[in-house]
Amino acid sequence: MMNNIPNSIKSVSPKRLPEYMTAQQQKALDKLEKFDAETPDIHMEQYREKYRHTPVEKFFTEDDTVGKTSHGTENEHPNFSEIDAVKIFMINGVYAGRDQIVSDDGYIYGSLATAAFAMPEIVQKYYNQISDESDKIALTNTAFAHNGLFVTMESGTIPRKPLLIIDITDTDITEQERNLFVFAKACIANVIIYTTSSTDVATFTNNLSEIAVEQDAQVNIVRIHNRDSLSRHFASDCCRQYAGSSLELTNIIVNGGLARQNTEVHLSEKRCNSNLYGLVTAAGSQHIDNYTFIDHAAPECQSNELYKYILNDKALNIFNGRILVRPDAQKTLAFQSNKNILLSAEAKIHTKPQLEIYADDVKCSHGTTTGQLNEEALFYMQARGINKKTAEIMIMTGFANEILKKINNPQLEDYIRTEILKKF
Amino acid sequence: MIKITDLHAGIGSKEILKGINLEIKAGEVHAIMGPNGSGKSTLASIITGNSKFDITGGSIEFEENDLLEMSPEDRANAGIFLSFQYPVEIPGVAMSSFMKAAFNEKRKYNKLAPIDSASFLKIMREKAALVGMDLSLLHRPVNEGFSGGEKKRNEIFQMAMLEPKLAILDETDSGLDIDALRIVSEGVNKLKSKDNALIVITHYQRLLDYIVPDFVHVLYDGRIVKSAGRELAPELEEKGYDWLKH
Ligand SMILES: Nc1ncnc2c1ncn2[C@@H]1O[C@H](COP(=O)(O)OP(=O)(O)OP(=O)(O)O)[C@@H](O)[C@H]1O
Ligand SMILES: [Mg+2]
Repeated sequence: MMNNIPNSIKSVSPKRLPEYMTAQQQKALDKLEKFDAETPDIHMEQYREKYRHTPVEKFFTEDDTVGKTSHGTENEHPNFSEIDAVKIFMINGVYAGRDQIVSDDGYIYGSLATAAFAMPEIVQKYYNQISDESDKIALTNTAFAHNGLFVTMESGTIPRKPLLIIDITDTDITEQERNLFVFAKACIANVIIYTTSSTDVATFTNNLSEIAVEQDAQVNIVRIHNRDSLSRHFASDCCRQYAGSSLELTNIIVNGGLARQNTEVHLSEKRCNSNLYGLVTAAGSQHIDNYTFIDHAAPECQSNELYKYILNDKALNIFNGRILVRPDAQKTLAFQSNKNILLSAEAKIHTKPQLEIYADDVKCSHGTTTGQLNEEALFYMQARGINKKTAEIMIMTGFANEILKKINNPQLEDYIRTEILKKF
Repeated sequence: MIKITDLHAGIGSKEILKGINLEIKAGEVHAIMGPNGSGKSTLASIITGNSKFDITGGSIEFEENDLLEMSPEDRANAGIFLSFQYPVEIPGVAMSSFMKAAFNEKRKYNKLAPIDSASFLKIMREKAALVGMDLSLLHRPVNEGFSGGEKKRNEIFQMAMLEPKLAILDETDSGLDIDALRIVSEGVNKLKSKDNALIVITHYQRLLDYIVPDFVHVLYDGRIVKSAGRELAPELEEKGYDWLKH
């Protein structure tokens, strides 16, 4: 089936969506309407807990900021033309390319609506199969979003270049973006997703990406979120891994007003390997909330999480890391670590590891450290003649480097490092 | 070079140094010995400028400057160096970039332009060879995962890079194997000149066989209770400290 893709590439005008998609949308809409009335108390409780520090209402009702576009500040961007990659632009949540499926260096892509007609076998198989049906904001996305991005690769593809997705918002409308990534058997993919805004504008975005990593595929995704402080952003990466696959997902939140990132990985078959990394740098009154969920549903899988935060001023941040080891998931290895530096007395981090283990032959651990910049290290550097400010910057950079080096692209890595240091 | 007069210091309500007097001239090597907890590292930290200690009395003069008024980085750039008893790990900061920052801060202090990368690399290689340090350590984060001996060697490597006027070696011998002790000591001796001075804090005569002191002081419960020539060290090794109690 997958091998036929290049021949089946054709231009389809998505005036409407195929029935299999609209049916899902209708179902989501129905669920959404009955959500408050029909969700059992116990599930409602869980749902509220999941959004405890960032209630969904916060995204929808703060209309006082919508439309307050500050003028004159053109945001800076990395020099994308210098980066050697296959590039895709998304504008306000909509695929900005032509109305056809493109194949470049092994990446096969187009808008989700176009793909829904051009490659129905794949889209139908994966669309709305990974997204969380018990989550209001995910349901909202399913009900209303359709014209995001579709990316796939053929089995065994090893592209030369990374795929760079540049996702720009430039209006204050509510944007719902729905993406689908299907990485076929034994392919090797490097994807960078850069979300930004063109000017300071009070945006509200609700992005949801479903990511399927087929057998033995090796996928590396780096997400970089660098919007202005008026932005309110909600994003979910819902991933499913199949036998022997590995996924590395790095989430770097450089800037944003309100941002909630859900990262959910379902390890559905044996011997999957999953690494989640995160870096958050927040200042002012920025509110960044990471929720990760690793669902160990099959034996012999490994997961490893490392999330780091650097917080200044009155930033309020959250790391909620849930790990579920189901009864069948014997020989699971699951590690989680959250390390935070607070640069001001008023900055706050709520850390909540949740380990739910129902299998007996497993190794799981989690740990959190939160503190000021290490005084001993600062003094050690000063004692070598390095002035205090420089020493602080070097220690912070050192702390961030462990995650920044995952970007795997020197130009972008340097750009992000500079952007981060500007904040402190 | 440095003159410490009636120095009193402590931490919180705990008094650690109870009136230290010590003068060191250029070209001299002073050994400080004394039981655990007597205040040797505290004295070294205070000279270096660690603000966690409260100075409750006395003064330190360094080349006509009031040392206690200077920031730690100014002291370092003016020529004070401490080889830490417990070198600190700095995750994510590579040894080479750390060293380059320190090296260039010193040049800036002396109104010199930053060094170019090629010359810097050459100097690093030379100094690493001087103390027998493995070059691969330069690419690793500062002290992270270094063995005990590697950390100590790294301290002396940094000393060689920064060429201080007054170097304080706080138990640099502990953690070094027999060969390393000889190599590192030889390195220190090569750096020695009539213009610089050394304070060597140690528990053992062994190190002083290599780095031969002009004076030996015993620090006991926050005071220097005895000062003598180099012959004092073997005597202490033999008799311990009890006989010095008043
Ligand atoms: N941060 C601190 N808080 C409380 N007490 C401290 C602190 N630092 C040092 N001290 C105390 O001050 C005293 C002197 O310590 P110092 O490290 O100077 O001893 P030392 O002579 O170097 O000992 P050693 O030979 O074991 O290295 C000790 O009693 C120690 O416990
Ligand atoms: Mg000591």
